[in-house]
Amino acid sequence: MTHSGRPWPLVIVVSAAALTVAAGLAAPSAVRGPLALWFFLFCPGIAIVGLLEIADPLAEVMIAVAVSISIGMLLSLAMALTDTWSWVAASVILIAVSLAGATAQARRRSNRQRQ
Amino acid sequence: MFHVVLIAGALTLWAATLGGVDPHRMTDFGLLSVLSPWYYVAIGLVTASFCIALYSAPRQWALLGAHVVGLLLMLHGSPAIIYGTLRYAWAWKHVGIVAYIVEHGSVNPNIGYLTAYQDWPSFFALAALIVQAGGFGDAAAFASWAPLFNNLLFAGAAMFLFRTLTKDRRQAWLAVWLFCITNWVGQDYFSPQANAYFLYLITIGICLCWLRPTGLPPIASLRRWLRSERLAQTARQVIARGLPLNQAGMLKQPLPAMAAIVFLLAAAIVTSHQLTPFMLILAISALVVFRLCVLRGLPLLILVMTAAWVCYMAVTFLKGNLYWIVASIGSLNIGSSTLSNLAVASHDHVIVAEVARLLTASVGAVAALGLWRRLRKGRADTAAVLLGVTSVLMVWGNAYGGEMLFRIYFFALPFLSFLAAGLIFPSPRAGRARLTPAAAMLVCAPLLAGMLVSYYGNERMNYISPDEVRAEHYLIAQAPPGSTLVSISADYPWVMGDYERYRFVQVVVLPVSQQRALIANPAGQAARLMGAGSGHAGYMIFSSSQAAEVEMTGELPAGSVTRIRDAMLRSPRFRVIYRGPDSLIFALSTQAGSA
Repeated sequence: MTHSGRPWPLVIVVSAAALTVAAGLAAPSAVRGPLALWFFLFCPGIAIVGLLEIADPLAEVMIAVAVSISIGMLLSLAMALTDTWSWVAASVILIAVSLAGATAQARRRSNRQRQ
Repeated sequence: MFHVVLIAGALTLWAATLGGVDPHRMTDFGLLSVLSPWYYVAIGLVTASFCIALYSAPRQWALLGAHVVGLLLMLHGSPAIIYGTLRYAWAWKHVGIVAYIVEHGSVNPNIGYLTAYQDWPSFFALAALIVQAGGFGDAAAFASWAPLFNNLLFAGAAMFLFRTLTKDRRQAWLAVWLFCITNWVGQDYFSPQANAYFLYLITIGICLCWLRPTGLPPIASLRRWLRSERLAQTARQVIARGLPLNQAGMLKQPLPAMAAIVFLLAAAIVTSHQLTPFMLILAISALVVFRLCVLRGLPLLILVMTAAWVCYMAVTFLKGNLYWIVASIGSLNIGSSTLSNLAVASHDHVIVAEVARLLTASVGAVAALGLWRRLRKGRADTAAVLLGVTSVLMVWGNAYGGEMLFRIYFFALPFLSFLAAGLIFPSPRAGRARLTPAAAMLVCAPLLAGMLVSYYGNERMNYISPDEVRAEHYLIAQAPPGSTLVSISADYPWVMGDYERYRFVQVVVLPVSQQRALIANPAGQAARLMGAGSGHAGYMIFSSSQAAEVEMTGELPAGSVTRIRDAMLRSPRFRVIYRGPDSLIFALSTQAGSA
């Protein structure tokens, strides 16, 4: 599969929507937990790393997980250190970052297809 | 199809063996003493299938990857499935720190216990975010599966790393396999170090893949550095033979973007763990000095970040620990408080410890043989050798609470595994004989056997039973703030939650004179340790995992725990407030509270 064939924008949007709905409905942890783990450990990273269009899928996924973990750690650390802790605010920021990355990836693909 | 059937068969067999395993029946050989013989057949099958697939289907990455996933599921999924609880008492400490952040929304380095965790809290902060966003009760809900998850990440990161070191995918896959079957040191649980280790592997992989030089250094520059024409020529040859490889499709990333990612990962490492930043600085410094990384300022940048974090954010930890950190710098830190004192350990535990040491030495020996074979084929492996050796330098850096030897092995292991795989596949043209799968099996089988003994051998003390978890929940619900919680050792979930409200005493870390006094006069000394007459409540907790640890390691004289417990049962000074199959909790009779 070439990089442009990888469905990251769709994966990010669906994951963000699923987490938002599950958290909004206060779904049980058996549903909401795996969604949260998946979203926080993968989506923010792939939203950014996907823009680099790394050809090797293993390298891309591994770096995306590392970037997701790092962003999540630094954001939650900043909130804990500044007494502004809010898991809702942190989730909203990470969802926004992910959707921004997904939009940029989709736009780039669409521009390329037009050309 | 043959391999798919083998993997499916092995996994079915493995799953079928787990049902009847009773962890309470473990001896000092740990899980080995209770696992069915069919478990070993299953793990042997998947290993044999992998060795054959390396020969017959080396380009089928999905098939080879499925073998690795199957192996890791068997190795690290088994304890999670059999126990149903989070293993390792020290993993419960991390659950407790996460619970603190969830409850308070902040960190507090001024709590007298576990200061380091509050001073390097970014891993715990992320876990707290996941606990709340995922609606989990606490981090223990998912932490049991952390060893499997972390090992999958390690394997993926190692494969990414190895592909920058060799074009031969067979060598890379075998190296991943060897890494998985020799990673016995148990640094894969729910912890900042496991998380930082994954980030470390990815950072090094990015440096080798995208931040490497595109050409050789000019001979004039080397001559100026080395002040010798001959030395400069030799250095250039070594660098040329050891350059990380151009992997198809992995080139041409903008350098600023990759540098930014490295900076982000380094920041996460610096704020989450004490040792990993120094390992990273050493590794990247070696790459820079040997012209294998173009970002020459990167080690200095990470050093400044680390120093800034320690000086401004980790002052509390530094105040309490600077004396031993400074004292151990420059010393040869090969003695280790966490290495078993085999003179007093149980017979079976001695065997487990000896096998672990033999396994470690064997990995080094196979790596040396692999390096020798690779050198004979004209492969220098400069980067792998450098990265393997640099972690060893930390033996002079710091005792790290007696754990340095384990950490050095852990950080050297990916590169040792890579070199060890060179024994079977020293070059892309080699290792194509029909006997190659048998040769690979000959290397893998004894290492895997050593791994099973070393990794599973201590499970009797690593296992925390459901009753011990219930007992701790009960204790937290009962004990008022300011209570003293006494235990024989720290091998129980002592920091499950609300740990900032209590004072902890562990008998095995008391001075020997106090331990002897307790054994000689259990009731009187136990009451004193529990703070009788202090105005605060006191509790003493006995559990099967504590008893197992003391019996296996010989930290207290044989029979001491039973003697202390029985004396307390007979004494009117104490009353039992919790009695379960694996736990017993005493309170002082004089204090209020339900029985």
